[in-house]
Amino acid sequence: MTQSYTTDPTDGDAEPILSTDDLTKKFGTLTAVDGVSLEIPADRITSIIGPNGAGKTTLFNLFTGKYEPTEGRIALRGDRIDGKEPHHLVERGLVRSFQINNFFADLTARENVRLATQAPYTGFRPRDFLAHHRDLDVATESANRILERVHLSNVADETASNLSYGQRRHLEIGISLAADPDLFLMDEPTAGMSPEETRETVELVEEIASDITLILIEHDMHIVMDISDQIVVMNEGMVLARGTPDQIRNDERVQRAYLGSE
Amino acid sequence: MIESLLRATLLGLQLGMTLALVAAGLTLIFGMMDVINFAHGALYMFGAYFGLLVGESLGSFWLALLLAPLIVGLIGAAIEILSLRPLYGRNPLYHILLTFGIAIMVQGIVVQIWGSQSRRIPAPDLLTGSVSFGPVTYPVYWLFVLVLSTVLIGTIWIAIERSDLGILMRASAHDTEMVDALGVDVKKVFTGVFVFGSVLAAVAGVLLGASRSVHPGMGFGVIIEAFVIVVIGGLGSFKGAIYAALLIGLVIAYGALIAPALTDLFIFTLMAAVLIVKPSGLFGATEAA
Amino acid sequence: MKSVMNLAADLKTAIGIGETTGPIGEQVLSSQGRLAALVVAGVLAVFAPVAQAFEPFWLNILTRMLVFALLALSLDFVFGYAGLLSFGHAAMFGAGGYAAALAIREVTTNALVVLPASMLVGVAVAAFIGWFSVRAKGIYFAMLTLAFAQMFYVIVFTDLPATVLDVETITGGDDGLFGIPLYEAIGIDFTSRLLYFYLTLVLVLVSFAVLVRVANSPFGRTMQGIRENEERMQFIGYDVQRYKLLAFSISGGFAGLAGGLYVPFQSVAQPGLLHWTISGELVVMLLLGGMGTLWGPMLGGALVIYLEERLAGFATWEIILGSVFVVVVIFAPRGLAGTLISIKNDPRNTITHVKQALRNYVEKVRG
Repeated sequence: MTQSYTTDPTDGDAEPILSTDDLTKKFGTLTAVDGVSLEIPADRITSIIGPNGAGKTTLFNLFTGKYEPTEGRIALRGDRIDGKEPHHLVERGLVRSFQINNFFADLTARENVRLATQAPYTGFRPRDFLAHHRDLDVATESANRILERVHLSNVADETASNLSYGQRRHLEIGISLAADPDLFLMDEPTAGMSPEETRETVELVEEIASDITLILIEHDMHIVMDISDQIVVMNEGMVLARGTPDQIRNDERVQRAYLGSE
Repeated sequence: MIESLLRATLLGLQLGMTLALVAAGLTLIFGMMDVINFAHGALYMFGAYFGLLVGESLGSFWLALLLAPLIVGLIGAAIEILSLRPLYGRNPLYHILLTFGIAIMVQGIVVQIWGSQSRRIPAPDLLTGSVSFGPVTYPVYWLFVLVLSTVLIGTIWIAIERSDLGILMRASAHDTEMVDALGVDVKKVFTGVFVFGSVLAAVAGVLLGASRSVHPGMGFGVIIEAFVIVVIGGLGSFKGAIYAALLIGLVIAYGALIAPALTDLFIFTLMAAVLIVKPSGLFGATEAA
Repeated sequence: MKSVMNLAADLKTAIGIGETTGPIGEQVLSSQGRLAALVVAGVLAVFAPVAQAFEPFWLNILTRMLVFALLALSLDFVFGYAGLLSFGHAAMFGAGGYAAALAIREVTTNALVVLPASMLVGVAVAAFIGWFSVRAKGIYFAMLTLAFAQMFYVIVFTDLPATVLDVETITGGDDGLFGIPLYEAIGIDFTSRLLYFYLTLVLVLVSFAVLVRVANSPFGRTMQGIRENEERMQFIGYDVQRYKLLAFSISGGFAGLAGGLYVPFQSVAQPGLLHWTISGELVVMLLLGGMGTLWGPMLGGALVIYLEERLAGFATWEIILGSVFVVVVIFAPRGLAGTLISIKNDPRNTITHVKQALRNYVEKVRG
């Protein structure tokens, strides 16, 4: 099978913030991501869709440095980032959130976010070892701003494990936001949510997208069609199609391979 | 030269196969139950001492080889039910700590009952003497140990590969819920696996108790070797444990030819090297996480 | 204050059905705790001359208790507090001890020179082991540290350095190094056992203060985060491996210091100091004392040494230690520290908790 592009993706004037060239990841004999060449335009929402096992999450793990690619390259604003470790990528403004909540269940919401906002202010200087962590006011203030942004100020002092499902998902997003990213990869932000929670989360996602480039993995087709500027359809590790929601909706191959099967 | 090499090879294979008996139990217990069993060496030692007890009081090595593993199996059952069972679901660290405590206890008990001097299980008359293969003279008893442990390991291997038991074991290693779904009582499976591992360790204890010596430090000695084997082979992998046991057996035997004092250094260097290159061990199924 | 309440809540569930390692609170040691530590140190300081006068043997035990309290503290800093399950701390302890022995023999008996050297050697050995090990997680980390520590043991035991450098002896092989004298420094002669005790007491107290401080720092906070969720800390932007390596090296420094205090006091450096059973015994001390609290393991260390000394005559010593340990793991996984805090917070319900724990146990055994 060859790479196939629907048409020129979205408005062509947007600089790509992230691009990949022939990106491939093999696990033993399984090729999870197979020769993917992509451009993610800045300041837009790009959604990655595809059936289970299509390679979406592996793609995320490659973008964020969890895995090293077997072949190919990844560039962030033109600089190669493949093989870089996650914390380097966070420093360059690339963050992710997780499909399954991945935070500190025994800490309060504020402490969870604070652990993240503290990161840029700590290093390996003497005072990082000898000052009291609570005296790091910048981190606390910044954590409070984040909590407000993800609508969790009212439950800031609750232990994370006591929050409602929707609130926990928002906390998950908040922790990632704390690193002050320009590019945010969200893994199924609305999975398992009630319609009410989903609506709130979509609003939150759109608010975040106002000044941050977003890449979403999302299963809910209504949301995808509604908020995306660009959609990338994956199947069996390859990009099946790429385009605006309208283009994707009308793409025959996509309908056959993916939408039709639902 | 060739002579000592051949001899070392036989010795290495024999040692490897007996160590495999210990390591097999250890790796199965980990694979099935997620328990790092520090008391496994203690069970091996109990095997040797009960072998000594039966061998000396009944005067039969064969009875010792039969009865000692049964006694140790019962002790294993008691340990699993009374101390491990209440800890399932807790941080696995506690299993290490608990079994370490049991190992200390057993060592104390052994010293208390049998004293701290070194002993030896009398080998049966049938197996005394040596045989010659060309230039190499080799004790009959050691040959017997090699053959018996190879047969045991081979049988278990085939059983695990072919039978329902094997399927069950592999299922539970991956997913206890799946075993539940198969309609099997996980608790009984756990007890069974632990007892099985204890019996194997005890057999190794009796076998080596008649060729190496029986002393209170043997439990802690063998557990480190067994851990190294299991870690090199990949925690939870049966196949890996067997290959790694043979590897370590040969390293010890050849190492003794080159620099006897440094065999431990060779072993630990080998283990560190394997882990650095492949953190999950040679046959480790999962990433080290 | 809030931390103590969290802890109390944790501990109610901890007796009998507890989970994981130490508490996650705002503060590692409350002001009350600090006061208690000072009081204990004060009592020890006053008691020492009395012990010296009546039963010099006691001073001996007390000093060894202090050294092992320090060693257990150093391990808890990584094991309980940062979640790095080191089964190789004997290597740093022994290396610090041998460094002191060699330095005293060949260079100087000045504590101000030798003890920092012991610490540095502890840091270096820990950095070496850590460099190869920190990428491995959980039990694999434990096994790697164990393997590397045993390598150091074999190196010392077989006197490999002497073979390599082609000299007669360096580590003294399996005999070790004998006749190591005590320190002197700034005009004080620590060859008096009482003064040596004070030296040890002060250094243990200072080490405790420093490690508590570090535990409460942003660095310490980060280590807690790594213990709880290493992957997320990476994706938040922390260089997790570097943090772990650093924590392990800091801990190694204090283990080295403990070695540097121990060897001159015992007047010998033996390979047994590096043997993995010491590492294992240290883990026992941690659990008995209460992992992750820093002060608990110090109590645990002191207690184990005390019991060992008192029961050494009995052959049953190991049976007792082993049984106590098994009971603690099953019924009080938060150790002495956890039990003390629980009793302090809720003295009336202690009996109820014990009953509850026993009932839980019976239920679980029955299945």
